[in-house]
Amino acid sequence: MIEKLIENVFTKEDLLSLFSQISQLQELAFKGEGLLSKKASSLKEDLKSLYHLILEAEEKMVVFDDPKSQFDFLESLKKELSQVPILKIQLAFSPSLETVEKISRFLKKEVGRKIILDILVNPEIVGGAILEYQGKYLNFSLAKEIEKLFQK
Amino acid sequence: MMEKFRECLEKHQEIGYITSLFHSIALVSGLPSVKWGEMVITEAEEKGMVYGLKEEVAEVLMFETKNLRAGQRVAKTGKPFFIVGGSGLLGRVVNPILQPLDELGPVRGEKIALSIEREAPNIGQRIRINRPLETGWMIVDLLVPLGYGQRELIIGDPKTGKTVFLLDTLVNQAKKGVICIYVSIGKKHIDVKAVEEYLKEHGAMKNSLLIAGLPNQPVPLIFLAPFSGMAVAEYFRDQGNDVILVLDDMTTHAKFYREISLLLKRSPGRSAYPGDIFHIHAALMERGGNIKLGNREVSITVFPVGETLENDISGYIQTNLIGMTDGHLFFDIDEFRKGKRPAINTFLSVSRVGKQTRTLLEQSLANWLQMRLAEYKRALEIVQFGIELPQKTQEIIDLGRKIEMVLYQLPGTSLPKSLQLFLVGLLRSEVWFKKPIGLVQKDLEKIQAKRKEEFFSSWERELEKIKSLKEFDQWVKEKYAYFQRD
Repeated sequence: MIEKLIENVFTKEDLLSLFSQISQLQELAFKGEGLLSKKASSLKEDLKSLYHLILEAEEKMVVFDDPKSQFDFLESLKKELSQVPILKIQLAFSPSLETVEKISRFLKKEVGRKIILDILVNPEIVGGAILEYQGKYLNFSLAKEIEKLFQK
Repeated sequence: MMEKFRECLEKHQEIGYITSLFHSIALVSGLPSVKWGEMVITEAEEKGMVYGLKEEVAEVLMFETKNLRAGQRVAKTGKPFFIVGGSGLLGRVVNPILQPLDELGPVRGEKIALSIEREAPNIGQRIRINRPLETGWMIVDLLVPLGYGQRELIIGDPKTGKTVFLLDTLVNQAKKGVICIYVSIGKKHIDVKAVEEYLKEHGAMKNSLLIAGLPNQPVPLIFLAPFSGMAVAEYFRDQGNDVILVLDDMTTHAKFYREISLLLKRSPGRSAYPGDIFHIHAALMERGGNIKLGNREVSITVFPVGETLENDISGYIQTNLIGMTDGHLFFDIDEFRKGKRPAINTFLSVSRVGKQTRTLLEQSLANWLQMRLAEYKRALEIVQFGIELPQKTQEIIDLGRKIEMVLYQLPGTSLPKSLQLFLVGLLRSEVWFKKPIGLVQKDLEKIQAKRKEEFFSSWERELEKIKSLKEFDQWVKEKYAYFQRD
C-alpha cells in the first residue's frame, strides 16, 4: 500500500517529514466529523500522494468516517513506513537532488524494492562512499585506499 | 591484541548502534552475525560482552562506561570476551578486567589473552584430591581438613572472622609458593585496602593478586570479578602452580547478577533470582579441582564465601552454594558472641574430600578430639540443670575446656601441622590431664611462642615415621620434655 506513498520519498528527512504529517493527521482524526480525506485536504502540495492514498482507502472501504478507524489506519501506515529499509551512506560531498534520485532509482532497480537513503556528508572520506545497511558496513572510500597505499 | 574499533569495523564489516542504555547495559541494534559471549567495542574504545540476543537487538554488558552514550557506534571483534594478563599480575591490585587499581603503574610482563568462559577440566584430566592443604588453624586442619583442589564454602554471618581465616590461609600458603588470588565482589574500597595491607604485612603479597569489583564500578564489572579470578587462576595453574582462589562473596555476586537479569527483563525465579543462577555458580566452581598436568599435579582450590543472616543457612543462594561445593566451614555467630575464636562450628561444618588427605595418625587423633568435644558438649547440657556432677563428667568438662583453650586461635597465629598434632598429643597425655587449666594455659603460651621456629619441619619428618598411637604418645612425651627444659 505504501509503495505509491513513498514513490517520491528518497531520503530519511523526506521520510521523517511524511511521518510527522501522518502524526498531525492522527490528531485531526478526533477533531470534527466526516471522512479522513476531507480532514486531509489541508495537506501540503508535495504530500498529495498521502491524500490520494486516503481517498483510495476510503473507496476500498478500508477506512470509514469514524475517528477510531481513521486513527488506526494512519497508525498502520506509520508502522509500515517504519519498516522501510534505510541505507546509510557517507559521501565526501553534498549530493544534488538529481544525484539522490539517481542513486535511489539505481538501488530500486538493483534490489527490487524501495530503499530510503540516509545521507551523511563527511569530507574526511575524500571520495567514494561508506555504506551501512542492516548492520553491514562497507567502506568504499578513497581515504581507505590512500591509507592502504601509505601502509605499503 | 588490543582491539581497536576502526580495525574491527573494517575487518568484520558490521556495525551496530546503541539504541538504549540502562546503567551499564546497552541494547545494540545491527551487528547481524554477533554471537553470545562475543566481545564488542564502541567507537569510544570501550569494551563489552554480548550477554543476550533478541530478535532486533543484542544485550551487551559494558565493562567500561566512562564515555558510553546512546547512539554510539559498536563493532564486533569476532572473539569471545577475554581479559589480558600474565605473571606480572602478582603483587598487584587490579579490577576485574585486570587494569591496575594500586599506584604501581601499568601491569608489566607478558600479556596473555585469558578467556573468562573456559571449559572445566574433564573427568580424564582430574585426579583424586590427595594433598592436604594447611590453613594453620588447628580447628580446621584437625577437624575439617582441606585438600588442594577442594572447593570449600566458607559460610557465616558478616563479621564472624571468615575473611580473617581466609587471609591467614592465604598467608600460610603463599609462603609455600602457592599462588593466592583474592577476589573481592562488591566490597568497599577500604575493605580491599585492609586485605592488601594484611597480605603485605605478612609477606604474602608477592605471591598474591587481588581482583577487586568495587561498588563504584559498573555492575557488569562486579559480576565479571569471579570469572576473571578463575581465568587468572587457570593461567597460573597451567604454568604448573597450585592456586588458591577466594571468592568473597558469592551471595553478593548473586545479588548483582539478579540486578543485571532484572534489568534485562529476564523472568525472575525464587527470591527474584534468575533461573540460571545455580548454573552460573556451579559452572564456575566446576573449573576448580586437582588435575594432572604432564607428570605433575596442579590444582585450583576454590574458597567461595557465602553470607548468612543470623545463622540461617537455608537461604536459596546459601543452599545452592552448599550443594555445589565439596563441603563448608560454618562460622557460627552464636559461638562468636560467646567469644570462641575462630567461631567455626565443627559439628555443622563438612569437608567431603579433605579427610582422604589425612594420615592414619591424624585420622585417629582427629577422631579422638571429635569424640571428646561431643562428650564435652553433652556434659555442658547436664551442667545447665545445676546438679552435682559425678567425677567422670567433671573430667570430661575439664578436658573439654582445655581442648577449647588449645583450639582458641587469634588471627595471625598460624600453627604448623606438627605443632598442632603435638598439642593434641599433650591433651591426651597424663601430664596435661592432671594439670589445672591455669598451668596448661602457661604451658600452651610457652609452646605457641615457638611456633615460628625452624625445628617443626624436622618434627614433621619424625611424625611421618610414627605408625601407632603408642609411638606417638611416647614422641609427645619426649618433645614435651624439651619445652620443660627451657
